[in-house]
Amino acid sequence: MRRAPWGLLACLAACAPPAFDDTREPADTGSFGTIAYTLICKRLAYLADRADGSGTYDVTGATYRAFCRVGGAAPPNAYPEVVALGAGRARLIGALDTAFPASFLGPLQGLLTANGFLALYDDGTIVGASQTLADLMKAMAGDAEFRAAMAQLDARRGMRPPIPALGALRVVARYPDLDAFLLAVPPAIAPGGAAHDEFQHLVVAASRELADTGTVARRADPERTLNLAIQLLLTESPSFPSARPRWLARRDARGLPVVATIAPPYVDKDGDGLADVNATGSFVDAAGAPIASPTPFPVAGAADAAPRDAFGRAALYRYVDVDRTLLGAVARDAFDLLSPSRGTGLDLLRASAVLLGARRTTTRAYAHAAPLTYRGFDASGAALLDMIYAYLDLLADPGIDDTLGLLRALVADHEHEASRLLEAILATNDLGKQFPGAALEPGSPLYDDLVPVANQILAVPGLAEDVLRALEAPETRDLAARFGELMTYKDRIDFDPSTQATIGSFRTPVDRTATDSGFNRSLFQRILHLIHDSDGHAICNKDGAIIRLFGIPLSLPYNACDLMRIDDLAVFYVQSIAYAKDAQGRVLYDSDGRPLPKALLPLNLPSWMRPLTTDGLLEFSSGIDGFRWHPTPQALNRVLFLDPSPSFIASVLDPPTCADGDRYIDQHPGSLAALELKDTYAPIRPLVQAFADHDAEHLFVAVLSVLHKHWPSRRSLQHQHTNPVGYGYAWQSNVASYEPLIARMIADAKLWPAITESAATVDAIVVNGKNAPAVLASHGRWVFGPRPGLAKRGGATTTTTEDGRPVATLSPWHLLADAYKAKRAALAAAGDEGKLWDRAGGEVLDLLARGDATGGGWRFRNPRFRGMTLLLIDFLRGRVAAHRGTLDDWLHREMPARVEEVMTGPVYAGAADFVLSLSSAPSARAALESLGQHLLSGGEPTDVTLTVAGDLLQWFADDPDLVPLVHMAGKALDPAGGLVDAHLTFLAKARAVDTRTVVATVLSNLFDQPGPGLTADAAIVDAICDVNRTSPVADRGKPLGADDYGRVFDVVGTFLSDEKRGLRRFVDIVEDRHLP
Amino acid sequence: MKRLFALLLLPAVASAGGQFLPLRGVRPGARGGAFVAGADDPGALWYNPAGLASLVGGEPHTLLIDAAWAGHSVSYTRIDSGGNALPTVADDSQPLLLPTLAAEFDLGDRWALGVGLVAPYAALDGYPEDGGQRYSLVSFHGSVLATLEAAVAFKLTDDVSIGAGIQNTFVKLRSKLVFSACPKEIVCAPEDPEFDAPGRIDATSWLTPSAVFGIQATATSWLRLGASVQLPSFVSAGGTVKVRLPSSGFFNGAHVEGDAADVSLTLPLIVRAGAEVRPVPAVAIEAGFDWEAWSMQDQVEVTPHNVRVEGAAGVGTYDFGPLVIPRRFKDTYALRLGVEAEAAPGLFVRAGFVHESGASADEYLTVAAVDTDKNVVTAGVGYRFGKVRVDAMVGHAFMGSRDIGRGTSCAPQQNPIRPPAGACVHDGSPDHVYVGDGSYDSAWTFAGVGMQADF
Repeated sequence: MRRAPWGLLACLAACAPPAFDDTREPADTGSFGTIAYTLICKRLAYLADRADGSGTYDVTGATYRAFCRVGGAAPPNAYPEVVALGAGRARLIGALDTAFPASFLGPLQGLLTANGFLALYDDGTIVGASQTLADLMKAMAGDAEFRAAMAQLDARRGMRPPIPALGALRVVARYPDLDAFLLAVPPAIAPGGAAHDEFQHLVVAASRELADTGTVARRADPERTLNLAIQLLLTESPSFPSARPRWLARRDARGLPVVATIAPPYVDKDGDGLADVNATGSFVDAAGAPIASPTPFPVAGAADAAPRDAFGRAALYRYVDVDRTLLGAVARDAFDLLSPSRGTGLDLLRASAVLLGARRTTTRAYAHAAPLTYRGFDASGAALLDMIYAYLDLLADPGIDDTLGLLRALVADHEHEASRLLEAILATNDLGKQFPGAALEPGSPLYDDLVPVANQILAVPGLAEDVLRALEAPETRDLAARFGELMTYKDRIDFDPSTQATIGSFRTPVDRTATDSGFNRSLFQRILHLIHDSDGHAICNKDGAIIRLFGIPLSLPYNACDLMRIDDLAVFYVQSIAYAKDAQGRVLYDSDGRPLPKALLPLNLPSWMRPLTTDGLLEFSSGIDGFRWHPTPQALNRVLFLDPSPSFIASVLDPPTCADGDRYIDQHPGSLAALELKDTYAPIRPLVQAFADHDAEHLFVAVLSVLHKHWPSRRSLQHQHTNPVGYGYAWQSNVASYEPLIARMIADAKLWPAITESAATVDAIVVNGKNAPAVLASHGRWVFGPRPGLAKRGGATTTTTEDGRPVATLSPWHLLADAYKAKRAALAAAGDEGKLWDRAGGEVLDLLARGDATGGGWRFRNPRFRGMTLLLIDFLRGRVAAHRGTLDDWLHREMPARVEEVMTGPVYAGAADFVLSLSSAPSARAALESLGQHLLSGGEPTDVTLTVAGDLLQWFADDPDLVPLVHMAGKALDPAGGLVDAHLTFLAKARAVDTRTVVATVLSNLFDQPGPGLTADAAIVDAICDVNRTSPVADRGKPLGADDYGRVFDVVGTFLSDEKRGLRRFVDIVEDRHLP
Repeated sequence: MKRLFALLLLPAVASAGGQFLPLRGVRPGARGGAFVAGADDPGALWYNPAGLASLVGGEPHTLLIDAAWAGHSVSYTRIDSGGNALPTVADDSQPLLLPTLAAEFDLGDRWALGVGLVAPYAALDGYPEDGGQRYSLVSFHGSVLATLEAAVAFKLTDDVSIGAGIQNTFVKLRSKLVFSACPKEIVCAPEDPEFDAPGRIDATSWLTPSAVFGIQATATSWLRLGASVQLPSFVSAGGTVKVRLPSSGFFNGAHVEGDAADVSLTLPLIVRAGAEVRPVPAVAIEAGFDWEAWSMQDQVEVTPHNVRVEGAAGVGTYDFGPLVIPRRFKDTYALRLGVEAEAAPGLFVRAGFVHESGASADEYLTVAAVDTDKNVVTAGVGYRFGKVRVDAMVGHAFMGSRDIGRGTSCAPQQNPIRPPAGACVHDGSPDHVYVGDGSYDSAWTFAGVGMQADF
């Protein structure tokens, strides 16, 4: 008895409970898709039951259990939404299995249940993402205009071929490096990321702009900017080679496919050039009855009996091969611009900020959106806007059509010359980068000084044209080589007093480390100096000059200048190079058949003596060959520099002095004779002749004088630059520093040969009945000619030269010069940031405009550049023609204002800042660029990118239907809604804990195709829509209407936010997974 | 002897509070439990330990052994949370012997000692696992509740005795019920059986101390008064909770880890009072009143320790949290009337009647505690053979039907997915699943035999 309690315990121990059977018998053993479908179906049935108003509920799910699990016939009086879901059972299961294949479920579960991912529930990340999306869905559901627009959109299907019709997101989602993209980009732009603030500025700006979008009164107006863009970008050009057609249906401004030929039953009763439609966008016949029209391309899942060609096109409509359009061409080249290793595209955008001036806080008001205060660009100091304004002004040239026509003809019909010229220019530009020492003295007014001379040249009728034609001369081709030698060497070239032969050769290069003084100046610099010192300088016989023959005086002593006065020695010298011509322009020859130099010795001989004073007598008397009535330059050289001077000359002339009062033989020895070494006169003669033919030798001299003024450096001991009227004055711009570059350029034999060898072809081009030289000269006159009333972008009508001299009347050149001056200043002030502009710009040019010599001649390396150029030229010509009556207003007010609005607006500022901020997140930037490249990498991605871009571009013209969608997009982006930040945060955090590329795989799988013409995501979305539309059974297969969209969005929004039976409930469950 | 003990104690029974019959013991039961003032044998351990003092001056030892069978019949037609009447389920109660094993010792000098092992009269209900009641109870089969008591009584005067006992109640609770693992209505209807998670709670408490105190006073030669107080018991039992995961594909790949759990509940304070009249020496009539503070049992708590689901789709690990089964019992009272008469020498006849109010409020009435008002009729006989008396008893409890209308119940479906059910809400929707609506019919029938030996 005493042991009774222990017996009890023993009993209880012996009576251990039977084992609990915890063996689970799974009810669902199918694929993930099948299981998920079953669960979805059961949920749907239950929710429908809840909503049917009967007051009782099948809380066990028995009614639909079998139907949901195995399909088959629906229960009697089944809920329409469940029936609709069941009708798409196989498709939805297939889509789910495609998105979540069995092999992927393990990694997926691994990610979803990783502590790092689960933490996203705890910290509100997932709730934030789902709630903001839910809010957007609710907003969509509540926006009647948006719903109607969606319905209209749904009625415009089949505009793209099947693959592009799957959407651009598919290309992104299937991007092979999507995982790396997710690893780099979202963390950078999500809250807390290095580029978040700037990204958000961009997003908020885009949001406001989208929200403010309004409709235009005449959406089909061909002058509408968008329609112009469509015309420019979507016009096929034979210049664009295409081995892979990328067809797209052309849309009209109504967003409908363009009927190629309007013939019965299609009608155009309203005469708008488009087939008539009814209110729902269906084509109608003459009686107004809808016509059963095929879609341009087949629509996946839709019945289609229309005859189609190999590309799936219905013959009814117009199409465009996007691959043969400017859009396609630009897209192809954008691939290289997006290269992460070069970063050209983004750098260009980034550097443009430097050229848009200082920042200021400003507020932009919107008609349909809240004002936005942002850090925008101060337009008043924007060099880039000045540049654009200045270039626009060039289009104001009344002869601009000729100029553009000339360019067009050159590019279209003379690619050899065009590409060669451009390549030579670019190569030269590249060459310049190898000579950093080549730089003008800051503030140099070289160009300011040249422009007046240019204007004078252009003012002489036909002169500029002849100068251009002179380039055709075969002799001219050697000019560069000669000049190259003159700029390279500093040797003293003299005359042998006894033989008058030249002494010396090109042997000693200029010592660039020493000052450019004395004989350490290139021959070219010294000759310029000489010519400058002769410019306008008169030479006279000496006082007491006596004409002698064999020592016998033949005349009484002359007073100074009575026997001979050369008013301008420089001009005279130039004339000695040129040939005299008769009234018909024919070169005159002497009796010995030698062409007569234009220079004529102004000898004031007694009349009896003139017939006796033959050329031979002059040569004999002077002892100088060529010293004839029409002296050769060689003869003049000797007159000036033979030392001692021949007696005949000495009897007439004192040793000549130059403008500075120095004797030539003292100040300018050893230089001019260099022109004789390789007969530099021959190649220079055609140019000189052009001036001489117009009696404008002084302008040639003026050019050289200006060059002299600026050639020396400030180190040169030869000159001073402080007293313009003092001895040895020169501005000393240091053009001499370019001599090595020029010499190298000449040695490379690209630019000058390109110019001279192309000149004949170019000059032969006739545009609008005008030849090329005339066209160029005319445009030159427009560019350089002062134009009263011309104002800069800011309104100023005057400016100053580089060295501060006032310019009372502006020319287009001044606009350009000032703009570029501002540009240089801005870039210089920006340091390395500023260098991006030149580098990126150079890369763009390299990409587009380089040329190659091929077996058949020169061609643009980029096969699309020619076509792009032609299209742009045609577009410009068209625009100019369209605005001919209001060109001034269009070019000087409307266009600048538009450009300024865009470039100083919040979007551009945001984009520029964002790109700049990516410097702190280089991997994000590279990832963005790589993604961009992927989209344009050819094959299917490019198929999709191009056709989608082209289709969207067309679709944008359909304002009434588009604007509500755009407004909604603006709402989606509005940071106040938090959608973007929330989802970026989610992506960033999810990827951070994703060690098996699950996130990227999910995205990719969602866009995989479980069947032809359908992606998994689309199938899932279709199922959601089919089930949740207002009449799921009665309207099955029909396009969704506005009410349908409203309900779909509402249901989805509710699911995302419902804390009782929606996603939030699941989130709550996960949040509560652990006990406190 | 040990085997005997085991045989007798094995089926000792209890279930959750509120389901006890308002009486126990063959002889006391035959008197309708009116055995507080007249308690005079080892059965006094349960009713009033002061009654042990009756032995003082008599036989030095008394041994009492009896056993009873209590049959509980329940039929329940549930109205589910969707408003649908489900098929009626009937109780499949486990037949049990309910023992009393007690001994009393005259310690002399006015002291008496009693020890015993007793169990309340209760039934181990059982129902179909897929029945509509499954969220309340599948079965209590295998549960044990037995109280080991030692009490002393002291005869203060010839007319006044007092007694006190200390108790330890051994609790072995085995409760099977079905949890729902439906994560609300994300993917399922709230009572979808494919989201049912059958579970079993096994909990054992070796030590649940309590005490009982009593007094008896003989007012006159024909009137004796008695009263006792049974202190409450606070049961805290360690054990396991085992769960079979639902069959739905939602749980494919998941499994349960861990099974440790604690169960806690409170057994009530009981106050008993009675007055026994002996109009003639051979006839005793006792009227009694009991008050049982069942309101102390507000809820039953099951607290798992590191029990968790692993590999749940999209969730991973999910901890089982405390399960709270609200009881919200009301205090009960019982009015008793018992008669015992020595109809012939050594032959005793007994009868009794008890009316006891039910502990379960409509809102919390479930098959786990079908405790409605009871009218219990009992009868019994006894015969003494020398120092041995043999007793028999039979009784029936008539219990009122209870119709719990739709939208009345506040007994929640047990769902381990948090948050737990909050305040009771009836808004006409099935958002909140309660499991007690419907019609209840129940009754008890019981009988027992026993013997008492003096030596």
